[in-house]
Amino acid sequence: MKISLELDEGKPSELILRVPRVDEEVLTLQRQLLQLLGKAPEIALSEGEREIFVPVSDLLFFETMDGNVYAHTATACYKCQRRLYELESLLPSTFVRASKAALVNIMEIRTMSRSLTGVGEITFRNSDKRMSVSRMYYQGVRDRVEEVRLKHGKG
Amino acid sequence: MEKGKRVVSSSIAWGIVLIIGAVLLILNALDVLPFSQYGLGPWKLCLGALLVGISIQILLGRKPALLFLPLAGLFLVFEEAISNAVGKGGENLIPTWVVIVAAVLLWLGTEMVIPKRLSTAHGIFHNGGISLYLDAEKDLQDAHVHDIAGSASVYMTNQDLYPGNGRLTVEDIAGKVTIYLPAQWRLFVHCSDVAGRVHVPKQPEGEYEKSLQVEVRDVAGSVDFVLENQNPEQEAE
Repeated sequence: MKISLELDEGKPSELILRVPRVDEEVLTLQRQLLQLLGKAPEIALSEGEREIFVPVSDLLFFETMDGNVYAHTATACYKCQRRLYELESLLPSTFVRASKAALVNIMEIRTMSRSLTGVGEITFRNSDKRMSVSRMYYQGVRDRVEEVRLKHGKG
Repeated sequence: MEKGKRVVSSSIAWGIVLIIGAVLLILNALDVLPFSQYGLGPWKLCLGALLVGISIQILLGRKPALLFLPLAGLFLVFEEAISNAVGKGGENLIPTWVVIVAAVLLWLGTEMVIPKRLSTAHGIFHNGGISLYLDAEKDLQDAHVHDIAGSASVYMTNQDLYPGNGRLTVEDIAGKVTIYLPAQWRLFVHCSDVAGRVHVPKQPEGEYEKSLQVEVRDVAGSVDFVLENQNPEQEAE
């Protein structure tokens, strides 16, 4: 990737990423730049009667239970008003399906393991939380983790 | 299901079973109901009562597939008496290994056939890994968590809105329960554990704004409390 700097005193600062296509590398770079500029993408979550805005990069996974969607950070969990299928389309592609009822942030995965029955378990960086990965989705998550992490490193 | 109702009904069930077991033992010893002549000694009566209690717990937990195991145990315990009753003179009716293997196969097969589901919001967890979300603002005044041979993770939402001085009861039989709580809450844990494992992390001395009373009753299972540290600097100290 070529990086160049243009000095133009008359115009406000603008950062343009000129790319032939939007791929994982571009999205990762965009996210990192937004974080640097203090403009990390955030999502609205519920805490009681109020809404709080949590950086998407802080989220470990989303899970559906009893008709509600819950979002997990390393140390807390919140209700999310959106459905899982909506989140799947809104969130970066670093969030993938781990089961019919869960999305996981593959950038925050620390370990993946699989039991004899084929059900998987994921642990996360900087958190004691764990989540299950269903048999059907395990290989897909693993492949995605390898693809993104191997190619681009952790964000 | 009302909160607390499941705990009351399971406690009553166990109480009744234990009382009946004791009464049968006494009646047997007094020769009022001489079970011994049917090959039922005191230990078999006690074991039988225990297995009946477990069966009732399983039924209360709405996990019918698991019932095959204590039923197999009951058959093995009372096989001699059954054999006498059917005129087989105390002979072994079915090889022990057949009973055990059949029970296990029936259990696993029924599990695969019956779809898994959660009984109640604060109730029983089935195997396969289930999450339970308790609202710290509303539910922790008197919350109950039950697990029978399952694997459950319990999380708290609205942690910042927790008023404090709540109460959580955890009952686990042969299962695995992990409860995630903020490290800022002072836990007062009263634990009753039989052949299981309960792990409560040590909390540093000091003042805590909020506290939570926890009662744990565990039989042959595992209950872990995980304190989520929201202040990495505090943990480093």
